[in-house]
Amino acid sequence: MDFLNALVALTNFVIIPATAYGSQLALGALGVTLIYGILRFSNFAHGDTMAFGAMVTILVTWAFQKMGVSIAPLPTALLALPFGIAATAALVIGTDRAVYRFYREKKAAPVTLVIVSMGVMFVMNGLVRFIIGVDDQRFGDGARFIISARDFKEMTGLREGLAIKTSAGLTIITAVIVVAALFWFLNKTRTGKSMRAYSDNEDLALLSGINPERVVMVTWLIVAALATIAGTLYGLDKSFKPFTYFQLLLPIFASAIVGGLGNPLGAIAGGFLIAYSEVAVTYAWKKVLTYSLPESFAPEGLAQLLSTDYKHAVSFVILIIVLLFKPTGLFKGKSV
Amino acid sequence: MLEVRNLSVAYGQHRALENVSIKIDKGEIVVILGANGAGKSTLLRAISGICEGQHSGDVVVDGHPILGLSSDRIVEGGVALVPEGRGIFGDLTVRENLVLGAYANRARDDEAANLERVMSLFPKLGERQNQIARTMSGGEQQMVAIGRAMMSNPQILMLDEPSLGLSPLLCKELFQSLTEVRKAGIGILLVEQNAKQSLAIADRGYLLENAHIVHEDSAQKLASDPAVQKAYLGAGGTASGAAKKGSAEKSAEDAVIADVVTRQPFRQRVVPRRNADDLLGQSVDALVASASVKSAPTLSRPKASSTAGSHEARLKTMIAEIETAAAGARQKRRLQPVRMQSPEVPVPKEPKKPVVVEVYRAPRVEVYRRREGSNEFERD
Repeated sequence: MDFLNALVALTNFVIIPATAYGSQLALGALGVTLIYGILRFSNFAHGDTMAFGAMVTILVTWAFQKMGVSIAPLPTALLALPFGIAATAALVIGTDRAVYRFYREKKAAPVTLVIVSMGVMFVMNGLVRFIIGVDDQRFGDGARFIISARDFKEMTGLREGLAIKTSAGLTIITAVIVVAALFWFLNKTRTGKSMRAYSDNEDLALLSGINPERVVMVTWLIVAALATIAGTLYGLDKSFKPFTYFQLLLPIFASAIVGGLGNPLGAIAGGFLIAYSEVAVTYAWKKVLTYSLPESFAPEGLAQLLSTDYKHAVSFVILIIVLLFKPTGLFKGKSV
Repeated sequence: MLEVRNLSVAYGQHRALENVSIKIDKGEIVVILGANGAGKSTLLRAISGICEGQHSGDVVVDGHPILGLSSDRIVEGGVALVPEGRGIFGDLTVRENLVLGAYANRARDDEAANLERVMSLFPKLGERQNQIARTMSGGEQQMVAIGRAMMSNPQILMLDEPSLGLSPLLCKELFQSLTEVRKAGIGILLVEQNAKQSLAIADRGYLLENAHIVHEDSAQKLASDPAVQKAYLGAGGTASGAAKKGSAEKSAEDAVIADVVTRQPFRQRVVPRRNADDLLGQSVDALVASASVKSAPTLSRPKASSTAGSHEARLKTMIAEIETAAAGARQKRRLQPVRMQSPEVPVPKEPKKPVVVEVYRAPRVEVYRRREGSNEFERD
């Protein structure tokens, strides 16, 4: 038995990757939940909005790298992020003007808007692939690790190493900052309050003199920022490939629904819940169990519940369980 | 102040309002009385710019036309609406609700002063500033709703059935606070079904029937008007008198009225009964009201013989009637097999009231049977 090594292995292989992944999902789910709360439809184009934001950020990063601009040891992508956000904001607001507003004025049913958003999704999907191609793109630079496994072992003398990737650390810190800023905005500023009011009771918001078009525009701006940040962080942490963002849509929606659609706090909780479940179910626990159990109980197999190929199934299962037993989500969002 | 001229609103083919003209002055309380579906809420929603129907006409506030403007511009113009039901942001705190009321530019500078005013009007809101509005009681939520509307510094405050779902005591308090609001120089347009209390605080009133304004008068006169008493104040005695007069005029309308006056011997009639209206396809009250309005100038008010007459005699005739009715019903049962739908079982007429044909309407029960293995139903 060696609890210390077990704990280090657990942190290294489960807690840190899941937290980073959870932060990315939470940022994505926040975008979905805000659109649902205020524009009252499920935005299927969100995954590809993330891809678009990440793509612009990558292009700008490459330009910076060519010019020799860097903020080492941090990745240059951080510097390029504002440009990505600006471009994505322009894209989504343009889309809103050109597409969504038409249906909003016609007071189209939410399900119509969902289908419309699917159309937008395919267009954005094609746009991203057309511009940057379908392949994996590398754009991370700067220091790779905050602590590498070897350094950690030398430092502590343990057998297990603990490696913290820069991208993982950056993801978590950025997510905390972004979420704090978002909640401050929603709860303390006049515009944020008007957004919550609009989400709560649309008619009454109108009667209070809140301009709905302004609320919608601010929402798209925030969503563009959230999507670009989430997309870029995901790309830094794993890799950028347009199709993965399309696949990411499922865990993102699962997170938003599990937490309760329309509830920002729920989106964050849902993101972490999905991420931890996915990682925990697909992780081979052999190492951790060998350290933590008496020798005679040590597992012979990998102690892995599901192959990593099935990780999306986990979000599906959680989604179904939540919809069956608590359709409004854990944090009492709107019913789906 | 607020003037509505020839406002018409239609939802597709359905005309919800036709050529409605009303006027509210500063510091005046105006009440609009009308039955369900008469178009009261539509009127208020059209004025505040959140009505989805097609509209025509003019709505003018202080000389500025506001009809057709977006709702936020109308709020800037000084018109605030407390919508039907609980007009609150349920997930927000009381304070946030109130502050959001002051979102309009016209109210931002006076936000603190207005907040103070609302808090002094409803001290309870001051104590509970940080409570989530949804968790408050019905009366308190209504206070939040009115407070929110007042925060926009309105010249005209419109309320859509604020007494709905409130206890009589709370209702009274609410109307008292409205008189306080009026003292601040705000014109109040009140839509109500609670005619008694609303007329008590109002200066003037309008009757809205089937999309039309049918009558306008001072609140005092309206309160004593037999037609209003009949329709909204539940004065059964004068009402039957009015119906009698109506039938004395031999118009076709009145014949219909006489035909369908339903009997409710045990209590005075307060709410119009649904089934009669449904059967007729139009409001019985509207017919009665229009009949009595027509006849009011020509005939003096009845001496309320039925109410003022000796109660004992009335009771006796009533009991006699019930007994005969019961006996008749029992005999019928014996003669015929039980019928699930008995459209009308006529009750013997009272000799002293020859004109009014009194009809006992049995509740209609229709039994449908489900066809096996399908979702179709057939009448039994």
